[in-house]
Parts: sequence; structure tokens; C-alpha cells
Amino acid sequence: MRSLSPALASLANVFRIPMSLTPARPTVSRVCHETLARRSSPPLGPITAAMQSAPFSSTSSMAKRKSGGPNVDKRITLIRYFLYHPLTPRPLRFSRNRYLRHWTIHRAWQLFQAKQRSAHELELERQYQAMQSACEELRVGAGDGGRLFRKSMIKKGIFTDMFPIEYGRMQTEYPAGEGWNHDWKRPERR
Amino acid sequence: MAHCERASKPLLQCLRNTYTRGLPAIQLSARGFHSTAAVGEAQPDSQPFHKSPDPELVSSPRLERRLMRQGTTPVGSRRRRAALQGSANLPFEQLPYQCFQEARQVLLADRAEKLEEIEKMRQRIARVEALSPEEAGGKNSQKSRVHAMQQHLEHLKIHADINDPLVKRKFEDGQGDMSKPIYRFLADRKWREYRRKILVQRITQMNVVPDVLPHCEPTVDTKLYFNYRQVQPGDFVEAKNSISAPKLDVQLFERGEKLVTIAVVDSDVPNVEVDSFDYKTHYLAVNVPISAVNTKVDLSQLSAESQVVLPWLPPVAQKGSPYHRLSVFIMEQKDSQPLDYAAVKAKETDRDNTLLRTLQARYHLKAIGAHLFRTQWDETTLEVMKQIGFNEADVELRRKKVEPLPYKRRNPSSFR
Amino acid sequence: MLQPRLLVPLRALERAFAPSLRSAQQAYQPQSIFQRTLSANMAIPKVMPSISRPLLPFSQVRFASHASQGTANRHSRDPAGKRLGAKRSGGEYVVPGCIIFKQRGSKWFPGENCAMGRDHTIYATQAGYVRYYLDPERHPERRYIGIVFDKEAKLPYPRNAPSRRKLNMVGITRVEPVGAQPDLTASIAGVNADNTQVASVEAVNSEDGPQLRPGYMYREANWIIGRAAEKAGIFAKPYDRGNRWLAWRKRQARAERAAQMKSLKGKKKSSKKAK
Repeated sequence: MRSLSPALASLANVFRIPMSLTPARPTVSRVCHETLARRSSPPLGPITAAMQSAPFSSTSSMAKRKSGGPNVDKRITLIRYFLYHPLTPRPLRFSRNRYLRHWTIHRAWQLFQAKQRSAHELELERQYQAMQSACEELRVGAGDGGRLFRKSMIKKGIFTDMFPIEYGRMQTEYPAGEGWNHDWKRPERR
Repeated sequence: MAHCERASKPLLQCLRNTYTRGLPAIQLSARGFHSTAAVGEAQPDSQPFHKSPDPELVSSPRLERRLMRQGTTPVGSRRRRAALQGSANLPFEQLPYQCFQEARQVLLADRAEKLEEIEKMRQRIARVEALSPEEAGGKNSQKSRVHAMQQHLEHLKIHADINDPLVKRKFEDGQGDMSKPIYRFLADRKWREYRRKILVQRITQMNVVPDVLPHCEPTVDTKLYFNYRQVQPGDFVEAKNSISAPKLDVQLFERGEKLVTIAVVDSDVPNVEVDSFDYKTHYLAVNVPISAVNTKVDLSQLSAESQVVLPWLPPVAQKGSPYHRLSVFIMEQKDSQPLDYAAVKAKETDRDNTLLRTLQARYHLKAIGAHLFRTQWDETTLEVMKQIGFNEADVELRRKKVEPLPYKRRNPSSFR
Repeated sequence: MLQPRLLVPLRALERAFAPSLRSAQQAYQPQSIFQRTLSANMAIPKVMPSISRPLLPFSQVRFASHASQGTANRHSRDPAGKRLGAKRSGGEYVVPGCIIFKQRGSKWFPGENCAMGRDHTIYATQAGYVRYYLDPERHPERRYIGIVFDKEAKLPYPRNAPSRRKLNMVGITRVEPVGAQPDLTASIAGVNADNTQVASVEAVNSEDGPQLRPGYMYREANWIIGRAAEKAGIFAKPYDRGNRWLAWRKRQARAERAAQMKSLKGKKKSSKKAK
């Protein structure tokens, strides 16, 4: 048994693969050489057979594949090699029932989240509408021709000398336990 | 087989224990559902198992062989059958997994909600429709409102069922009932994912769409069969295979029945005299009913008295001519009203000089489906030509020789 | 030439080196070398007599007359023109295969009845009149070159119009393929009824039998000679890897032939030597 590189050994330890069973990965260049050497033997795979019978080929007849074995793409071979290597973690495979159960749970979770989102949005909408109706009431129903409303809507000086009072506190959905800080004094302007 | 039985034993033991201890009620209720008897309980009243083996449960090779001799093949793999022998064979929705059952509760609650909404929406539609146009604020606005509400209703119908795992399973098995909106929706989605893209690509790249019709937006899935073999869109078909008219499988994804006109047009008939190409109508039939459940249309079986205007003419290509594109168009008739067969038959008698564009304009048709196959000269073409009496069978097309441009000496004073 | 500012450190340097250099000067005087290298201005040693002679080559200057001669491997700054550009202007008549535009990269794209070659050359695929045009419905920015059949036609055609095509073919009487016959002489007379030339298969020297051929030989055509074995019913066996008996025989034959050639060679040499 040849010794492994420290990185591989640690990987094997992580994946709980016994070291005696771990085949060492050959280097990429060796794999390439083997791939190229194997190309001379012509086993006609199902993929190449399908390619030959494909009725829609844009390749001209002059540029068609020369006979003498399938022209295997080296990159595909390498991908397949490392994908099916024992050190690569197994893909997640479910039986049909188990997949359907998984899907059911997933859909239920998605549905739940969607409902939560829509409820939240509705609530925000309601709050906005409530605030708007209150403003409207102030403008129309206060009896001073909307003067108070106009005064309250003046945004002069905001963000220029001081930032607005609403940002003095962390924005929360509900007010704090004590609603108003009565001891608050406007800071002295320098 | 002892081997596979041993392999599935630990799992089975564990399952069996869970059932007997944890969920007796479910197990009891499950008895009523499943059709195959579990071997776990003895069958004292009926015959012993080895006398009449069940094809769903048999696992020993000897009994399997006996079954095969009787003519019934065992179901599934041997390992699966061995595993099923000891299981309670619960139906899918009663499988005792806690998270799964919770998820089912959530989905069922949502479905009940959706059903309520559907009922409400139906009532609202009825109410709006019952209003007079003056009350609803104009005829057009009432119409558009009803239309929008009906679309929302269809939406709700799909949303009520789309989360059901059994619906998904049935659709994947191909057992979906196309009369239900959810299966139509799923089938449409699947068609649009791949096959429609291929079809659209073929009819645009082979220039069928500007050549035969100005526009075509396929909304029905069309499959074409010659001699029980499916032809992919744009494939070459041998002349001897296309002697008889093809069969069509037109899958509609909407509710209700439609009357369609089916036309097969060859857009590449060579015309040597004018040095160009002609059109030829190889088939024309009107008033063909299709619906989501009634999809099969056999072009040779349509009635000659009330539907077929121009019967099938086998397509042939002269030797040397470029390939012929034969496009099949499914065209919806306006408001699904039947056309006057006698008038159409009297008018459309000429195969050669009728453009599909003209027909479309004349009868207010709208192309909802398309298919395409090609034909070229092959070994069997000559026989077919003789059979149908093709009068230019002994003519072969050859390329015209290109006269080169006369050599023009350009700027001779600069030559040294 | 040398600035007085520069002379100060040189003098210091000279002072450091002076004793050893002076001793060397007595043994060996590179007068001739020195005079050759500084022949341009001999005034320097007179103006600054304090600088000893061996230090002068370190401060040598290259003049404009030297630098202008150029390096040996400097590439040419002005290569030959590649003769790119339009070969046919808009409205000119072209035939299939006629090159319309030569370019580096696709500055122009092939439109109606045109195609692009391996080096992005635009050439005609139909006979007609050249048009240079834009087609914003196909691509917002590309410029196209197309061929129209009528002299007054405009490009681009409307998007949904059926494509205008030409058959470019003539009808002739179809001839049965005669694969079974030994000589494939049956071919088509090249001229049709309406006097159009037909590009037919190779039917030169269709009369069989020996004739006077190029090279002043009275013989049969090459393709008849090539088919002689086929006519006689002799076919090469398909190669079989597993047939080791045949392989062994071939190898033996080759070895024998090699030995024979070797012996002949030796004889020739020996005969030459004898002469």
C-alpha cells in the first residue's frame, strides 16, 4: 500500500473511508494517457451509436468522423472519472416513494413560507392604509382648514441639521414598553 | 430467493415493529385498501401460497417459473417482491412518517381553502353575469371583468391540486385524466419545456413559417405517425411509408371541443419553366373535432362526405430536386363554427394553385398547431410515382451550368 | 563633451586608480585602440588633460549617425496591404461563388443568398445583383450584404413574406443507374432542348477500347484499368486480424524479398568493384 498525500489522507478521514481501501488517485496526466491509449480499442457505445443515426447533423460529409473507434472527449472521460471515484461523495438517491414524500414536505414548506410572506405584506398594507386615513382625517376633519396637517407635513430641516426623531430609535413593528420619553429635551444647537 | 430476502430483512423487521407498536389504527384502516394480501398473516381460508402464487409477491424462482408458464409475469423486481412480502403494503398517503403527515395536513388545509375560494369565485362570477350591462358599467367592462374572473378561477383550480403528490405520481405514470385542468396544465408545461421548442425551431429554421404561413404560434401538441411509427418534426420520410395518409395525435390543452381544419402543404414543388418553386396541397380536411380527451385523428379515416376536401396524395420528389418540406397545419376555425363543407368542396378543387395563406384569409382560420416532415428521392420513390400516376416520373433535375463572368481587365495602366 | 560637473567624480576615481594604472601604462599602452574609438574628437585629451587615457572609454557617447542605422532583427513597420474591402459594389451583377467582400472579422454579415467563407469572406450563392443593407428586425446593429434577383428589388424583404428562391435546375430524361454493367459509359448528352448547358457527370472518352491518351500512349482509360480486377471478379479479402497464417506467409514473403534485394545489391557492388 503506497502512502497517501496528507491532503488525501485528511479527506479520507473526513469521509470516514478506511485508509486501506482508499485507492490513490492517479495524476491527471496519467489518466489522460490511459484515456488516449484506450481510444484505439473501438467499443461502440450507445451514445456514439445514437449520434450516427441522428437525422439532424449539421456536420458536412467531408468533416464527418473518421472511422476507427469513437472519438471520446477527454474532458468527459475525466469528469466521469472523478465523478465516480470512490473518494467522491455518493449522490443523493431516493426511491420513488421517498422522493414523493420529500417533494410533499418541500411543497408544504414552500406553501407555508408563501403564506407567511403574504400575511406580512397584508399587514404592512393595512398599517399604511391606517396611517393614510389618519392623515386624511387630520386634513379634513380637524376643522382648521388642514392647517395642522400642513404644518405636520413640513419636512424643513430634516436630514440637514438633524436626522428625524423616528430614526432615533431602532425601527420595530410595535412601540416600546414606555410609549413616550417625557424627559427628552431637544439638544442644544452648537 | 433467500439472498434477496436476507438483504431486505433488517428493514422489514424494523418496519413491522413500527407498525405493530406505533400505529395500529392506521394499519387496521389500511387493510381495507390494499388489493394484495400480505403474506405475514396466514391465509387459513384460502389455498396455501405455493398453490396459487401472487405475481406481486412471489420471490422464489420455482414459483416464478410456474407463474410464467401459466402466462402471468411477476410484477417488479424479485427484491421488491421479497420486500413486499413482509410489509403491510400501506397506501402512500398513510405512510407513518411524522413530517410527511404534518406536511400533508398543511397541504390539505390549503386545498380546502382553495376549494372555498373557488366556490366563492363561482358565485361572484354568477352575480356579475346576472347584472345587466347598465348596472355593471358598460357591456365591454362587464365582459372583461368576467373574463378576468374566469381566468382567476382557472388559476385557482390548478393551485388547488398542484401540491398533491398523488396527482404528480399519476401524471408521471401517464395516467392523468386530461379532462381535469390540473393534468392539462402539467401536460402543457411539460410540452413547452422541450418538444414545443424543438418544433418551433424546426419550422423557423426550415423557413416553413414565412414560406407557408406568415405566423404560427403552436398551442396544441401534435404528433405524426406513418405506419405506426412516430416522425419527429422535420424528419425525412421514405416515399413508400407515406403512401397512406398519416395519423395525427393532436393534444389540446384547453377545455372544450374545437373544430379544426387540417392541411398538408408541400412548399417545394420545382417548376422548371419559371425557374422557381410551387405549392401543392396534399391534403385538406375541414370540421375535424378535437378536444383534450379526443386526440387521435386518422387522416385516412375521416369521412369523405363531410370532412375531406382534398384526399391524401402521396408526396414524391423528383430525382435531383432539393428536399420537399411537407408541413402539416392544424388551423382553428373561427368560434369553432363548422364550415360549409359543400361550398368548400366546390371551391377548393385545385391542388396546385391554392396557397394556405389564401385559405386562412378566406375562411378566417388561425394556426394553432404545426408539424413538418420532409421527403426526397429514394429507392422507393419510383414505385410510388408509378402507383399514383405521377406524369413527370422520368424527369431528373440537374444543376444549370453557371456561366462565369467575362474576364475584365481592371485598370490596365497600373500593370507593369 | 563631458560636463565639468561629471569630471569631479571621475577625477576622484582616477586618483584612486592612478598608481596601479600608471604602472600598467608603462608595460602596455593601448594607444591604437584609444585613438580609433575616439577619432571623432581628438580635442578631449587636450581640453581635459587631467583625465588619464584608459578611463575615457567608460564615458563613451553614441551619436545620431550610429543610432539611425537600426537593429538587425527589427521587423518591418509597414507590411504589404492585404487587398481587403469590397470587390463588388451595390447593384453589380454577380454569379454564384463570386467574392463580394473581403474582410478581417465579420464587419459585414451574409444576408439573402450570400454566405460567409472560412476567412469571413462574403460570396454569392445565387446569380443576381448585390445589395448592401441593414436589417433591424434581424439584428439591430449588423450590416448585411445580400443578392436580389431583380435589378430594382430592395432588401430587406418584409419579415413574413415567403422567401424568394430560384430553382436553377433543368429537367432532363432520367437515366437508370447502371451499377451492374462493367463500364459506366452511359451518360447524358450535355445540351438540353433550350440550349442550356448541363453540368453532367464525367463522360469524357465514353467509347471503350484503347485510344490515344495523353502522354502519346495508345491505351485504355485509367478508370477502366482501375476496374480491371473488379471486372474479372477478383476482390481483395477483407483484412482479418486473427488470421495469423496469412500474416506469417506475408512476413516470410517480405523477408525473402528483402534478402533477394540485398543479394542483388551486393552483386552489383562487387561487379562495380571488379571493374
